[in-house]
Amino acid sequence: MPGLGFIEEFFEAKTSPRRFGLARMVVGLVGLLDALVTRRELETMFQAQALRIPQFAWLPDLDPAYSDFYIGLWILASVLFTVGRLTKITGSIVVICIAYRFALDLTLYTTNIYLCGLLTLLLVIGDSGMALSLDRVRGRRPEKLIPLWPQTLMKLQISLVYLFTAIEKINPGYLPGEVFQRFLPVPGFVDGPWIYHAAAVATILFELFLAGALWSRRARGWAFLWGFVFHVSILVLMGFFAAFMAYSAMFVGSYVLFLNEHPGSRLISGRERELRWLRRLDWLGIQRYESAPVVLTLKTDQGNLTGWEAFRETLRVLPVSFLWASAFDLPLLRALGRAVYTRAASANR
Amino acid sequence: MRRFRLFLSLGVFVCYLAIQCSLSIRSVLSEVRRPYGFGMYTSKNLGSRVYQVVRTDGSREGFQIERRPAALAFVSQETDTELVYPTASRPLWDPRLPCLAHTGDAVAIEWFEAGTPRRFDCPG
Repeated sequence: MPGLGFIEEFFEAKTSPRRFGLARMVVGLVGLLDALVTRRELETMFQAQALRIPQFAWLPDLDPAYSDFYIGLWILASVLFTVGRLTKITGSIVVICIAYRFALDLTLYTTNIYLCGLLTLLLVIGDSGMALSLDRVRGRRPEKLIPLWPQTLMKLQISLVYLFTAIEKINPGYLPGEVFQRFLPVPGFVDGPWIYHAAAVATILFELFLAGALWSRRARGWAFLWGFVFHVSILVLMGFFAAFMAYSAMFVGSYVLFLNEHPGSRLISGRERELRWLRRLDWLGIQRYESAPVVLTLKTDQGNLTGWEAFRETLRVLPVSFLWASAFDLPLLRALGRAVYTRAASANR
Repeated sequence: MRRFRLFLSLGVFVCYLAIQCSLSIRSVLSEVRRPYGFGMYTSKNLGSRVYQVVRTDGSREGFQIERRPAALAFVSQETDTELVYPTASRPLWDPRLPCLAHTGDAVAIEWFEAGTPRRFDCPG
């Protein structure tokens, strides 16, 4: 198709399904949590004195007698979607359950469940069950490459939420930082309106930073680290409420999509004992492993790294460590990490 | 078939982004304009607006709406009493809310928005 080269290339690009599989597991668990939250909220909604505003007059109302069936279906579908069983069907059921929640009543609107519905929809479109799934383990489907564009769309969705959440906060209600007064502990000597105002401004700037930095290869390590710290601090400061936990899990769980190294694009050599754990934890299959009686050596596009530097660079692409690996760029932690690694490596020899 | 899949993917991608961007922009605008007196990040004391409920007998009563955890409170300006209704979540604003809260005897809700009088006739 002449003139459509770029579009063709973009929509026909394929990628490893593992990142999407990992994101599916996180979003699936959030869907499960949302089902439990909805169960509790329906109990409130069915109270005689509760405000009811049906979204659509033509939509049949949920009979309380059927609410257990509705929630049960949602829970079952979420569990199967998380473990990767018939993900296109079970994911679609989760999306329908969430859509029904919103169609049922205006008072059931919640942004984090709305986002969970969107992400689940994208995971269904993107065939996220192709990897890290029960279907795959049971041998029903061989792991194949999947289209890249649904992952790009999901990344854009995460950035859009950060961007517009930041813009939405630029208003006279939020900027004075009144919302921080309720939960931000500050020592007495710095207490004053300016500290809350500063916290409000910093939050806005930080969310704007995250919206863009996740896409930058240079800045994404810091975005992962500080984004992770940001979401954990929300939970610690504001409480482990289901809505906050769901939000944090969806954002942090989706960060893995921004790890865009190609599978097998790096070669790491070293003693088998050192490589064994790294290989087990490399669920995305980004590195190739070569057992050899040499010091740990990582070959990348940018050059070769050895010892601690190779280990640190490996931490940046492992799902269990990529969120916090950039902490080792801080001088103190870097020296500490190097010392611990050197000691452990020499003890293993 | 290949061309069909390409255009289908393109359509889904563009439509999805367009819908999400327009919803996000609408959300930002509603935060700025605060059509119902306050936005998501506004506390109950900021930007609260007095509504008038118009009853079937033509009488009027002013009230303010406060968003509380899992509840909405309709605070009367005349009697300083409040009607508190449980809500399943934090509801989006809709003019039907005050109508429903004043069950049975509300025919309309009136308020001022940027100096302009507004009226919402309650359904039914």
